Amino acid sequence: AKVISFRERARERERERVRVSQVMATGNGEAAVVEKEGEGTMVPEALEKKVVLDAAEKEEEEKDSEAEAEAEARISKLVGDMIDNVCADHGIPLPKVDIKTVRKMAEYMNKHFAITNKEELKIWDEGFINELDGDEDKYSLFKIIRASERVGFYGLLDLASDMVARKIKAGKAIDEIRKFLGVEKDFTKEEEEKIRRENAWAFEE
Amino acid sequence: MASSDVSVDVRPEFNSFDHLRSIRYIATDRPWLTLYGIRVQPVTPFSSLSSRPDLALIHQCLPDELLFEIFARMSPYSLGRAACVCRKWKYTVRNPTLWRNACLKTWQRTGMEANYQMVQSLYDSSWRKMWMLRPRIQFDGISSRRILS
Repeated sequence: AKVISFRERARERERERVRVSQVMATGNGEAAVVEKEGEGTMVPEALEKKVVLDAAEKEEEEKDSEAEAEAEARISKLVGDMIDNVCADHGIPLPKVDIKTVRKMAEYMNKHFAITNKEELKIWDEGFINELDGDEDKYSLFKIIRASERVGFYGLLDLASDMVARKIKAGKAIDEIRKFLGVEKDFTKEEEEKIRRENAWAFEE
Repeated sequence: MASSDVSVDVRPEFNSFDHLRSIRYIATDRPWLTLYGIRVQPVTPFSSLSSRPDLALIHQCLPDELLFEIFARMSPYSLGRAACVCRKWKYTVRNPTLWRNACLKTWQRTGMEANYQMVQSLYDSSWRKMWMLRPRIQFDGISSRRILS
C-alpha cells in the first residue's frame, strides 16, 4: 500500500510537469514563464537548453547519448529532479540502459511534449507501443519497462505494462501465454492438476 | 654489612635479567596458522526448485516487482489463468494486494470499510478467498457462488 501511494503521488507530480511543459509549448512560439508552488521556476531557457541522456551500453560505432530539450526531458521524474538539483550539466547517466532504449524513450518524450491533443496522443501511443511489441523476442518491450521504472518515467511504464497485460489477457489458453512470453512450464503433473482445479473459475469468463 | 650489600646487589639484577630473557623466548599462540594451506569451500546457496536457469526473457529482463506491476493491470480472471502458467507466476499472483484491489473494485457499492470488516470476519482476512467465495453479479447478470476446492 505504501509503495502504491508513493507511485500515485509520483504520477501526479509527473502530470503536473507535463502540464507545465504544455503551457510553455502552446505559447505561440514564445516561451512563457510559469511558476508553480513546489515546482520551482520554469524559465524560457528550458526550451533552448539541451540535456544529454547518457546510455550505459552502446553498440559499436553508435553514439552513446541523446540530446533532449530540457523541458521535454522533465517528463521523466528522475531527469526532472536532477535538473532541479543542478546535476544535469555533464549529462544524465541512465544506468543499464542501452542506446536503442534511450532513443525510444527520447522519441516518446518528444511526442508527448509536442502533441497537446489527448486523443491524438492516445493514437500515437498505440502505434508506438505496437511497434515495440512487433520485436520478435519482445526484448525491446521488456527493456522499455525496465528502463522506465528505473528513471521514474511512469507514463511510459504504464503504457508498456498495459501492453504486456493485454497480451496475457488475450491469450486464452495457458500454452498460448507460455509461447508468447517464452515461459517454460515447471509444474509437475500433480501440481498442474491442482492449480488448474483451484483456478477453474478463471476459464469461465 | 659488606656481605649483606653484596648479596642484595647481585640477586635482583640476576632475576630481572633472567625474567627479560625468558619473555623473549615464550612462543605466542597463533591458532589461525592451523588453517594454513587448507582450502575452505564456500557454502553453496540454497538452490531453487528447478536446477536449470530460467530461460524466459520476461523473467531475465524484469524483476519481480515489475512482473507484479503487469499483473496489477489484469482482471481477476486473467490472474487466475496466469497462475497456471508457471511456478513463479503462481506465487506472484498470490500477492494479496492484487486480490484486495479486485474485491474493492467488484464490490464498490458496499463501501471500503464494510469490505474490510467483511474480509476479516467472514473470509479469514483473505482477499483472494473473499473474491472466490462471495456472491457477485456475473457479466450475464446471474449471481453465483464459487466453490473453493
